[in-house]
Amino acid sequence: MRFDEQPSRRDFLRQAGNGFGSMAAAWLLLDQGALLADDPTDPLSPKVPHFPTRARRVISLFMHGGPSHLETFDPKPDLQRLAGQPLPESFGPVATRRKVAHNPLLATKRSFRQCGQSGIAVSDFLPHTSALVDDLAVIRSCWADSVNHPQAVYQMNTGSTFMGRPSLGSWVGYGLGTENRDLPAFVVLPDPAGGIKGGPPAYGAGYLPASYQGTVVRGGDSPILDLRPPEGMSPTRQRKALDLIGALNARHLEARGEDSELEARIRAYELAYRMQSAAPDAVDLSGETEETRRLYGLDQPSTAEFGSRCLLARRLVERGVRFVQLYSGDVNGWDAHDDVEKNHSAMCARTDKPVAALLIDLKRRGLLDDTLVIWGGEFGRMPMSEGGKGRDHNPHGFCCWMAGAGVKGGTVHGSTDAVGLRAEQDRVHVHDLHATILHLMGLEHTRLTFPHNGREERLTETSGRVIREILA
Amino acid sequence: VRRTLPGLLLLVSAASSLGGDATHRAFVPPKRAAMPAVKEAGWARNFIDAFVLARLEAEGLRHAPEADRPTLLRRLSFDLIGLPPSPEEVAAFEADRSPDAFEKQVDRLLASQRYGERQAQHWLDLARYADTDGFEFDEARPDAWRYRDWVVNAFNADMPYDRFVALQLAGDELEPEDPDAVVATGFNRCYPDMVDLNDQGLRRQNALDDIAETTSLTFLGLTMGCARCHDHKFDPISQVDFYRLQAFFTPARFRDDYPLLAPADRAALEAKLDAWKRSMAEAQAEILKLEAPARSKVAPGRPPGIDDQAISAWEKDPADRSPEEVALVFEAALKDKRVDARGLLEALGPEEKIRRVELLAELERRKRGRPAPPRLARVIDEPGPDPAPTFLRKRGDYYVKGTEVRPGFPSVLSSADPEVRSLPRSSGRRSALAAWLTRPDHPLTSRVIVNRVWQWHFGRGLVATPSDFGLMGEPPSHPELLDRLALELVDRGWSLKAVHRLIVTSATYRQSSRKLEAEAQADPDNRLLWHHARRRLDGEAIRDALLDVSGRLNRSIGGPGVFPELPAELTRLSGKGKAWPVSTNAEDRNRRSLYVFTRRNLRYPFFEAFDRPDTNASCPKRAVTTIAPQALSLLNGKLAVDCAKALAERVDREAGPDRTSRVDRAYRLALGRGPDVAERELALAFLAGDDQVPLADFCLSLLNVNEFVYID
Repeated sequence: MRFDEQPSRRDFLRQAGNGFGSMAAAWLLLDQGALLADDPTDPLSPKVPHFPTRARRVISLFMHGGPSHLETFDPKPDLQRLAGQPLPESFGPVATRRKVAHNPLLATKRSFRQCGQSGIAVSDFLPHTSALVDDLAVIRSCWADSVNHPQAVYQMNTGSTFMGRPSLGSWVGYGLGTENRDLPAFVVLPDPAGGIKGGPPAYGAGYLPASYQGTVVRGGDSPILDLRPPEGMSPTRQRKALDLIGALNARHLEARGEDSELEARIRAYELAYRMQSAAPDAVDLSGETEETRRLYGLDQPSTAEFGSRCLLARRLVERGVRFVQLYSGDVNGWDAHDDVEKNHSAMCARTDKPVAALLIDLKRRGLLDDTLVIWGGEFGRMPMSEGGKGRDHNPHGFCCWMAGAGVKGGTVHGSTDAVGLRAEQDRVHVHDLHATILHLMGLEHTRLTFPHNGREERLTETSGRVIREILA
Repeated sequence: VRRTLPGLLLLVSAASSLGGDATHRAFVPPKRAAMPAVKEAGWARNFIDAFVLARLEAEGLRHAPEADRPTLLRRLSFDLIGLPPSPEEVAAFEADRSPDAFEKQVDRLLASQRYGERQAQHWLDLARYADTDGFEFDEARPDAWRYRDWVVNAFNADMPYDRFVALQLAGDELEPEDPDAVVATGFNRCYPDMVDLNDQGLRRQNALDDIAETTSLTFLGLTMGCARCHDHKFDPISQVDFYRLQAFFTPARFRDDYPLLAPADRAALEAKLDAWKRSMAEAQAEILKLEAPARSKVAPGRPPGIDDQAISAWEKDPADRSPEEVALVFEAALKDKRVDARGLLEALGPEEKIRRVELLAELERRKRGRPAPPRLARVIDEPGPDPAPTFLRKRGDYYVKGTEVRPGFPSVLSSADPEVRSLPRSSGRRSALAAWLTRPDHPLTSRVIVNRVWQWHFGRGLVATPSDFGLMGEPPSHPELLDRLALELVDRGWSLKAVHRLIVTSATYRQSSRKLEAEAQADPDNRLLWHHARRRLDGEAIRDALLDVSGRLNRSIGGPGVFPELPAELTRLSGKGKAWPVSTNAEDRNRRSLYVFTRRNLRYPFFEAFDRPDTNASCPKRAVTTIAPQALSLLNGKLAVDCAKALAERVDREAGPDRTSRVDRAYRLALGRGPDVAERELALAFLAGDDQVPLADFCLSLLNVNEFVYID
C-alpha cells in the first residue's frame, strides 16, 4: 500500500484474514475517525447537529430524592414571616404526596447571602457553589407533573411520567452520536449506596435502539460489565482468540460479499478489545495530582465518594464521552420528609465542594467552554412542614441550575410565589428544560424525533420552549 | 448505475392518494387476486413464489439460488423452534434423498414443543409481557407466568388464531367454566403499573389507556394511542373511536387472585376452607376459655392497640363469635403486650398447664390441615352484567371528563353498533369485540397476523410497519400476496402452523442469502425478496444456542420464571439480591431464555445488550444494533465462558484426542457444518501453537464468530 492511500475496508479485512497478529496490525494502520465517522451501520457514529453550537458534552448532576429549593437557591422572606401559620387560603388546594397541604409553613434555618458580581442569593448550605454563582444560570421557576418519586424521576429524565421512554442522555446520543468509541456514549455513575426510585429505566433508551441507553460505569478495574477477561485468561491468549475470530470472520465476510452489518460486528470486537484498556484507564484516578484530589475533596471522608465521581465525570468528558450523569443520594437521598435541616446539611456537605471543584476544574482545563453542566433533582420541597421539621415533595415549584457551554452565567430566571409553593413568573416546565438542553447541544427539540407505534415521538412530547433568557 | 423501482413508487403514491377514508387498502377485506403469470414457472413451489417472482420478473431482477441443506436447516430450525439443529439432524437431512426431505423437517419442527416456546417469545414482545410491575417497587407478579405458559401451549396446540385472539380478550366471558381460558385474559394485565399511585382512579385509567392502545396495535395493526388525546392526525381515527374501544374494557375487574378451579371445585374448596376455619376456631376458643381466668388476673380488660374489628369481637359473648371473630380475639390475646409467657404460666394451675400444652399441640395439628390454597392467576373478569358508564377524557386528561361513550368499533372499519349481549356475571362487551375482530372477512385481523408470521421468517414484513397498517404505515411490498395469505389463514381454519408451512416450504424462503450484484444495486433493502436476508439472532436465541451446543440446555417446559446468575455488581445494585434471587437449583439457571424472569427494572444484561425491548409498550419489531458490549458479553461474560468450557468438554468426550476430529466436531456442534480446508488449517494452527492453547479458547472463539450469531 502506498503511503498516501487510505486503506479501504476491504484491504483491511483481507489483511486481517491473513493470519494471527495481523488483525491488530491492520487496526493500527487505520485512522479510527475515518473508519467510524458517519457510518450508517454504527448507531453511535458522530452526527452533525441541527445547528452550530458550543456545547459538545453534558454532565448531569442529579440530586435524587428532590433537593429543597427553599434551603438552597430560592430565598423566601415571606415564608420566614408566615412560619407556623397555615398556607393562606388564597393559595387554593395543593396536590401533595403526604397530605401536608394544611400543615403550618416551615421557615428555613438557613441564611441567604448575595454572592459574586451578579449578587445572586444562595444559602449558606452551599459555600463552595455560591462562590461560583457568576457561572450559573439559576432557574427558580421549574415545575413538573407528578408528586411521586418514580414518575418525577422518569419525567426529569425522559419527559414522561410513564416508564419506558428514552432518557435525555439517550436522545443526545441518538442525535449526536459520540466522539470516543472506546468508551460508551452515555455513562451513568450511580450512587454506590443504592439505586434510584424507578430504577434503570430512568436512564434507559426506551423505544430507541438499545445502543443509546446509559451504561453504568463504576470505579475499579472492572468499570463496565464483562470488561475483564475471565479469570486465568491472559491478554496473550485473549488476543490470540480475537485474532482467530477476526480471521474466521474475515473469511466468512469474504465468502458473502459486502455486508455492512457483518463488518460492523467485526469492528465491534476490536472496539471491545480497546475498551478493555481504555475504560480502566479512564476511571483510574491515581494519576491525578494531589492538588486536584484535594480540590474535589478526596482527602475528606464526607466528600471523598461524590468527589471521586465528579473527578471521574471530568475524566470521562475529557475523553469525549457525550453524556455523563451522576446521581447523588441512595434510595432516599435528598428526600427530606423527616428533617430537612439534618438531611440537607449532610447531602450538601457531601456534594457542595465536589460540584464546585468540577466547575473549577472544567474551567481551568478549558472544558467548561464546550461542556454543559446541569444540577437539579426530580422536584423540590413544600413550604409547609411535614412532622414539624420535614418537607414533602413539591413538583409545583422548584429550582435547578445550568452552567458552562452556551449558558449565560450569573443569571436568575423565573421565580416562585411568595412562599415558594408554585412557580409563578416565567414558568419552566420539564419539557422547557429539555428543549433548552437540546438547544444548547445544537438540537432542535421538535426535529429530534423517532417513529414509535404510529407516533413521531420526541423528548418534549407536544410542548417545550427554549429558555432564551439564559443563553449566552 | 442504480436502477429505481417505479413499481414500488407507484404503489406508495397510490396508497397516499386514497386519503383518510375507508377505501384505504388495509380497511377493505382481502381479495383473492388471480395467480400472476410468470416466465420461470418451474421455480414456483406454491402461490407465494408466483407473486414474488412476478414482481421480480416485472423489474427484470433474478432470484437467488436455493441455499444448501445445512444452511437451510439451520435457518428453518432457528425460525421455527429458536434452536440450532444438532449435527445428527443436519446429517440426516443431508442424507435424505426423498423428494419431500425438507417438508419432513418442517413437520418435525412444527411438531416440536420448542416451536411454541419460540413463537411465544415473539408474541410476548407484542403483549409487553413482564413478571413485575415496574416503577419504584417493581414488585413481582407471582402468577404472570401462567399467561406466558398459556401462550406457549396455544402455539403448540396450533390453537386457531381466531380462538387465540378471542380468549385473550374475553376468555372469562366465553369460557367461564374453563380456568385455562380465563388465564388467557392475562394479555390485558401486562402493562407497567404504579401500584401506589395516589389516585387509584388515575391508576386504573392509565391501565385502560394502555389496554386500548395495545389491543389496537396487536390485533388491528392500528396506532390508536395518539387518539387518546386528540383525533388521529393521519388516520381516520377519532378520539371518540379510542374511548369507544376502551369502553369494551371499562367494565373489567383487574384481578391478581383468580382461583384456577372449575366452578364445582371452587365450591368444594370453599366448603373445605370453611370447615377448616371452624375447626381452627374451636381449638382457639378452647384455649381462650382455659386461659381466660389467668389472663384477667394478669391483665384485665381487652388488650390495647387492637383495631375496631378486634374490639367488637373481643366484647362479644364467646358463644356468639364467628370463626373469624374467634381468630381475631385469639390473635389479639396472643399479641397482648401486657402479658408475658411466664406471667401467664404462673397464673395457671398445674392441670391447666398440661391441658394447655395439649390444646396448643392440637391447634398446631389443625393448622397444618389447612386445605391447599388454589393456584391463582392474574386476569380480568367482571363483577356483574351492568357496567358503569365510560367517559371520554378530554385531551387524554383523566380529570377532564367528556361525553359518555358506548363501546364501538373504529368508525372507519364499521358503522354498525356492536351486538353486546350481557351475560350472568359479565357485560358481554369483550365477547362482542372478539366476535367482530375474528370475523372471517375482517380486513385487518388476518392480514396483520400473517404479516407478523412473515416478518418472523424474513426479518421484515410484507408490510414493514407490522403494527401500523394505517395511512402512515408502509404500503405492502406485495399486496396481493398479503391478501392471499390472509385468505389462506382463514380458509385453513385460522391455523398458524399452516401459514408457517406455506411460507417455509416456498422457493422464496429457501433462497440463498448470497448477494446478487445487480439486484443488490436495484433493491438494496431486498423488498422484492430476490434473496433471503441474513439476520442476527436475538439475545434469547443466542443464549439458548450457547446452552444447547454446549449440551447444557435444560429443556423442561413452563412454570415460574427462573433467575440465572447475574454479575456481582448488578446483584449489589438490586437490593442485595432481593430483586434477583438466583435460582438455587443450578439446572434452572440453564432453562430456555423464554423462562428467564422479566424484571422491568433490571433487564437480564445479556438480553439487554442484544436489543431486547424494555417491555413497557407493545413491540412489533426489535431493533438490531451492533455494539461493543455485545462482544464483551460473549467474550468475557460468565455465560459464554462457561458454555465454551462445556463445549470443549463435550468435544473432548465426543471426538477424542485427535485434533482434526476435535475441530470438525466443534464446528459441527457450533455452526452445523464441518470446517473447510482453510478453516481447519487455521484451527489446527491455533490449537498447536507453541504455548498449547486450551480447547476451550477455540470453542469460545467459535461461539463468537459472526456465523454463530447470524443466520444465512
